[in-house]
This record gives sequence, structure tokens and C-alpha cells, in this order.
Amino acid sequence: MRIAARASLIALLVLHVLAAMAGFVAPYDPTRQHRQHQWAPPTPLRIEGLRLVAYGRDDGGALTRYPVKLFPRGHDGRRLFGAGEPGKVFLMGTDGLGRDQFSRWIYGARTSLFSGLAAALLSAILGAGLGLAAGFYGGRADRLTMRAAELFLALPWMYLLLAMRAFFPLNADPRTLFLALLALLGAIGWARPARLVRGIVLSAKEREFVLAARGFGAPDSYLIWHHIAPATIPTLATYLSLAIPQYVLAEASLSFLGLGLGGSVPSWGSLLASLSQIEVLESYWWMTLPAAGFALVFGCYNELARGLRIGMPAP
Amino acid sequence: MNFFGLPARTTPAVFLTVVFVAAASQPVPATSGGRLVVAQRSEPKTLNPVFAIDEPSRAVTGLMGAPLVRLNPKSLATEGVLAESWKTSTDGREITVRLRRGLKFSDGSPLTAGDVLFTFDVHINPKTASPQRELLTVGGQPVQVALAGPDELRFTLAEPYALGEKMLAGISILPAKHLAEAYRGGRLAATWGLGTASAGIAGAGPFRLKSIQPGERIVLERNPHYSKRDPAGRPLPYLDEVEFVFAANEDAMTARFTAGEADLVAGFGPGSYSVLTRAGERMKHRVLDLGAGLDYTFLLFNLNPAPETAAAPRKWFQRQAFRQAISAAIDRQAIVKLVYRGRATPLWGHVTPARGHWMDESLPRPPGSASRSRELLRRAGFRWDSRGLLVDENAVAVEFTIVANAANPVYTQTAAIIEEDLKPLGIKVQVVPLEFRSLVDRVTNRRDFDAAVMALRPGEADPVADMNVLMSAGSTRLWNMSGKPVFAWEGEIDGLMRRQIGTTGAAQRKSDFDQVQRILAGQLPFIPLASPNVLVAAREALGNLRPGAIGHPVLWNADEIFWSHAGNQAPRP
Repeated sequence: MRIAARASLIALLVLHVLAAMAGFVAPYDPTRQHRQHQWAPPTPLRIEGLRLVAYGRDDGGALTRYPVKLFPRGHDGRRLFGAGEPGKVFLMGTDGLGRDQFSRWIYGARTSLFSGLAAALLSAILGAGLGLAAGFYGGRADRLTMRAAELFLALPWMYLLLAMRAFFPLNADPRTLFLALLALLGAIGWARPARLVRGIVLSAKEREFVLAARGFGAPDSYLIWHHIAPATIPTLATYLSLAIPQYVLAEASLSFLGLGLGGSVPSWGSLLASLSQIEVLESYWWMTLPAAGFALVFGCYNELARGLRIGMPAP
Repeated sequence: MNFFGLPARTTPAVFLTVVFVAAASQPVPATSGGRLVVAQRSEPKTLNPVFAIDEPSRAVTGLMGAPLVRLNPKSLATEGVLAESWKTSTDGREITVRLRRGLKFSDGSPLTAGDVLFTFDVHINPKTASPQRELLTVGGQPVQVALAGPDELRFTLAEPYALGEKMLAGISILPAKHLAEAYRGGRLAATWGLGTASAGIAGAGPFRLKSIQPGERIVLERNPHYSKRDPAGRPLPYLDEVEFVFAANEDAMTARFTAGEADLVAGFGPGSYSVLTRAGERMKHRVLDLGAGLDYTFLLFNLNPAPETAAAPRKWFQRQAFRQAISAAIDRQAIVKLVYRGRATPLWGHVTPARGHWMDESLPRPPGSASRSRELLRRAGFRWDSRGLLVDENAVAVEFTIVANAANPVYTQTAAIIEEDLKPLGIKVQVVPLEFRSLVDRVTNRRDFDAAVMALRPGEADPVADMNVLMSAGSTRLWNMSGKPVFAWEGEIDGLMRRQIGTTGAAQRKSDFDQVQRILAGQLPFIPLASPNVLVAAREALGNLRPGAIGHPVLWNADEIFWSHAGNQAPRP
């Protein structure tokens, strides 16, 4: 694998680990409103001697110097860093309700990244199974699967998701809703990987060593597991590296429209929603910082996909 | 009364104003000519004044039509438009109106008493389903209209009516020549849509239709037959044309204004206010904050009759102390500061300061207090478990959802502030942003919600605007849409509202309406939160601009607005 692809993989791993540990990494609860700090810009940090110091405004608005502490203990457990109260550290500024953008970004990464990952995995597993069966057995099963795939590819998935959101009871737990969203995203996305896998299977099952194995009396399950399925792995890996960011984007689109997981659960899409307002774009540049998350994730996955395409043998 | 974005209900388009801002410090001689471009958020749904209930439709039809009388927003007195004079009988049951002589519609055809009879026949006929019908029904009987002379009409009421001749203010007189056939054929609602040719539409207002580009713009031109003149005897209106351009949303509307594509915008939020104010420093325009308007946002509880099996929140909401506790916990000042950037007024009653003397100043205005809230909850039988969560007597944790319009951050942010305010009480609130139509459907039809952050805009300052919202039979009584009084206090409100509308004594009406406000402030079927200020931006060169916080903030005197050559903004060709 190319160096750039390896670096991307490491960056993605780090990002996912940070997201998984959001409760520790984020300095504040993502829903906490610091009402005296509405639209606060990122807190300037300086190194003074051997200490990291934050220059922020206190609740009265006066510019004050606070040392940044590592592993401070708050009322809800230890955090990675923070300034002792009344000091505040807003690495990415605050929004209109005074909520810390960095904390929301980290918590939002958990929602957005893992929804993309899980939905893409689900679609790949479903698609691989159906594509394998269709390609290997052919005939009516193949025709049926492929017609169904065409139907699913034509489905307006955004409307389906909106309908699903309306179908759920209002008081549905956000986690339940999140899982349902993942399931639906993954379930309706099986068609593309199924078509990819079917194409590879059609080619692989005609190869000489497969025909030879069949000639020696190998059962279908043996052929699939030992000869056909391994041939699909490089393609599926590339598919995943391209599909994950698309699913991240799908979740973000729903949240951007305000129809995601709900007001209090941050996601990258809901963080970007405020950018649709001219005032925010004009006056509060730090609100664009969460977009960097998308750029980073998309860039890394793209580089990873390139690395996989170059580094893996052709099927 | 209308939701934001929802069709307005039965209020007339009367224009009252309480807050005035003088547009020009020095009088500038009026000049004729030029085009005024007004940016609006959406295009009208209809050009038929009978069914123009949404704001964009009312803005356009308000310039094309004219009523018999209107309310002067400055003096709050009735002044004649098509009516030369009027007289109310001593028992308050008869109003005689004399029309001006020589009135004409914009197509040059004469406007006669027959057209007035036709207009009121249209509105009173239940088959028309006119939104004004309720206002023209007094003591359960529709107003009787008859000819009292060649140019005189008599309006007979079943009993004295608080509004008196003001009930005529929002009704544009229709040309029978153009509409009688459609009316008889039951096709009135489909007439004068956006596809109608300009020659097919006539009104007695200062402007008439010139052209329509659906989804883009509507151009109105000066009505050469308009009867009104300025004090110097010059014919009005001064402007040659008024053009409405439509933007997809508030930001697009603001962008059109700052790009110089529009001369006037109104009804935008505090975010756009700061953008426009900054732009005003380099462009020739002024941005005005007219103070509190009629709108009010509120937290609505679902008090619809609930079956025994209903979810717990519906049962908690039935308790007055619970509702009071929620109200006591909400920091209204924070809503004003964070959501409206200070350009709003915190509310403890649903009547806003813009409604002048109708607001009961004696209502208590306690600041948000968690301790008072805890006390109320304790008294209502709630307690706190070992984790600090509030639980009811059955040990069920108190949690409920608040639905809010996903498309408008004002509502979702307000809900988020309430969520945060209730956290220290151990109450878990889940904010659910919903697409607007879905939200309205849940609240008004399915009645399947716990609580909602919404807003209402009364059509006028008078308590008549609250009939729909507060009466049991009202179609917008959002907390309980059953059409019946369930609680004793609902019956009391019904009685007081009925009594104030049936009397012409101002003091009695004020007393009754104050009592209604006190009942609502105590019972809190909805918790009033804030009233956003009315914000307007206009080019500096516009003269006679007298924006007000009530009615259409700027276009209520569109016939008197003119382009000043003294300004840098030259009239458009």
C-alpha cells in the first residue's frame, strides 16, 4: 500500500478512536449551553513557560488567563483537558446557544462516522451475499436479484428516510432511531455492491482452477468459500472505502435538514446546518470548522481507495 | 390568527399600529414615478381577496383592492376609503354607510352599491367558506346588508358588536361584473389564481395587476382610476409600479436586498438584521427595529381529552401546578438574548406590547426560578429519585418531547433552551424537529404530540383576533381541539370572550379581556415565551415610509410612498 494510503488509514483510525472516546476527549457536554458565551470565537492558546494557557472571557465578559489542565475531573468524570471554572476552553468556538463547537464536533463524529461505517458494512454484506448467489447460480435467481437491484437503485432514498422518520413515534429513543436509520441506509444500499460482486463471480466461476475443482466433485459451498468469495474481497474493500463517506454524507444530509437524530444529539450535518444562514457565514467563521471533518474523512477514504485499487491484485 | 406559514384564519386585514418610526427627519416633496421592488419569502397563493389568507397573498391583494373603511394606524380611528361617511345607531345594531361618488374599479367600470351587496353576500354565504364569515356573524346571525339609498347601505346586526364599523375594514369590495358568474357557478375559489390574465382582474385599490411570472415576480402598476388624492390634490399613488420578487427563504431575501435587487424587505429575523445593518453602512438603506409586533412564540401543552391509556405526559400536563412549574423554570430572558439577539420582548401573557392598552400590565412577570419550580412540582405530587430524576407518584420518570419546526432555527433553538432549563429539575426533554406540515398535522389533526414550540400572529390588536384561539369552538384553540370546554376555566374564558365581543363599552371589554389574560397566565395551557420585534429594511430614498409594527409593516400606505430624487436611489424606469 502506498504511503499516502497508509497515512490515511492511520488518520482514520485515530479519528474513529477519538470519536469513540468522545466522552473523555470533549471538554464539555455537547448540549451544555454557556449562555454568557454566545458566538464566542475559538479560545486563543499560548505556551507560557511549560504551561499551556487559555485566554478567554469570563462570565462577566472580562478577558482572563486560565491554565489549561490535563485530565481535570468534572462532575461527570475525567476529561482529556479543560480549564478550571470559571475558565473556558472553546477550541472551535461556540454556537448561537453558547455550546462548545469542539465538543459537539467530537460527539458528532461518533454519530456521523459510525453511521457511515455501519451502514456501508451492512450494505456490503447484504450486497455480497445476494451478488454471490445471483452470479453463482444464475438463471431465475440471477434475473430476480438484478431486477430488484435496478429497482433499489432507482429508489429515492432521501424520501424513504424522511418517511421513516415520520413513521417513528416522537418519543423514540435517539439510539433506536439511529440504529433504524443505519439499518435502512444499509438495507437500501445493497444493490450496488451486489452488481459488482455478481460481475466478479460470473468471471471467477469460469476460471480453470474453479472448473477443475468442480470437476473433482467440490460442492458449491466449497467453491464459493474457497475460490469465488476471496476473489471479491479487493473489490468489496474498494467499494467500502468509497461507500463509507457517501453514507456519512447521507446521515449528514438528513441532520442538515434538521431531520436527523434530534435536536440534542449532535452530528456533523447538524453542525453544518447553521451555515445556511448568511449571518453565520459572514460573521462567525469558526462555524465552518466542522466542515474540515468532512474534508479530512473524504480525503482519507479517497486516498485509501486509491491505495487499495493500486495495491491489490486484479480479480 | 395565523401560524407562521400557515393560512391565516378569520381576522381582517386591518392595519393598526402602535409603534411608529418616522422615516424621514425632514419632509421631502413627493414626486411621482418609479418602481418599488419588494422582496418576499414566497409568492401569493391567490390573487382573490376573498381567499387571500396567507401573508404573501394579503400583501399583494391589499394593494389591488380597497375596503369601505380602514383603521388609521396612527390614530387607531376608522377612516373612509370607499365610504364617504358612516353612522352607527344608538343601540349599536345598525351601521349606515354612504359611498363616495364616482368610484371606479381599476378597469374603469363603476363601483356601485350593488358591488358592495355582492361582496358581503359572497362573504356571508356559508358555501363560499370565506375566512371573514366568522367576523361577520354576530350573536350567531350573519350581518344583514341592504340598500338604504342609491349610494347608501345598511348593515344590521343581531346584537351590539364590539367591532362596530371596524368589521368592514378588511373586506375588499369585489367587482360583481367579473366574479358574479363564477360565484353563481360555485367556482369562486378557483377564480383569480396566479394564471389569470391581468385584464381579468379588477379592484379599487391603488395598484392593478400588470404581469405575473410564476415563482419569480408579480408586477403591479398604478391604478389610473384610484379615487384618493394627496393634500395638494395630486392623484395617488405616486409610484408607477410595485414589483414583488420572491426568494426561497429569508437568507435569499436578504441577499436580494443587499445585492440591490430589492428596495424593501420586511419580516426577517435578528440574524438578517445584523447582516443588513452592516451592509447599510456601505449602502444607502436604513434598517429599522419597530419593537414588539403581534407575534408570540409559546410552548404548547397537549391538553386534548386523553383516554385512560394515554401516555404519561398527557396526564402530567393536566395538572396546573406542573404547567406552572415548567413555566417558572424557563428563562425567557435567555430566549430573548440567545435566540433573538435581544430583538424581542419576553412574555408572560399572550398579549404583546404592540397591542397597546389591551395588554394587561398587571400580570406577574417572575424571572426563571428553579427553586419555585421545584416547590410547585413537590406540591403537585412529584418527587426526585436517587439519581435526581423527577418521578411521579407511580415512580415514572418525567420525560416528554417538544416538537418544533425543523426549517426554522428560532423554534428549535427555543426548544433547546427549554430542554436545558428543565434539566436541573430532573426532567428529560427530547426536542424533535419536524417538517412544518407534519408538525401542524400532528397538532391540529392527529393531536399526537406532548408539547410544541410554535408561534401565532393575531391579525390585529383587538381581542376579536383571539376569538379563534381562546374560544372552545375556535378552530385554532391549539391546546384542546375538541371544540368543547373540558376545564371549568375554559368555560369561563368562553363566557368572558363572548361577553366582550357583544358589548360596545370599551371599559367593560378591557376588564373582561384582562380577566381572560389572568386566567390564561394562571392556567397556562400554553406558556408565552417571547414576541419578536418587527424588523424592516428600506432604501433611504423612499419617502413617506411610515412603518408600523402591526399589519403589513410598510405597505399599509403604499399609495403614499414615493421615490425622493434627493436620495441617491433614482427611480427605476
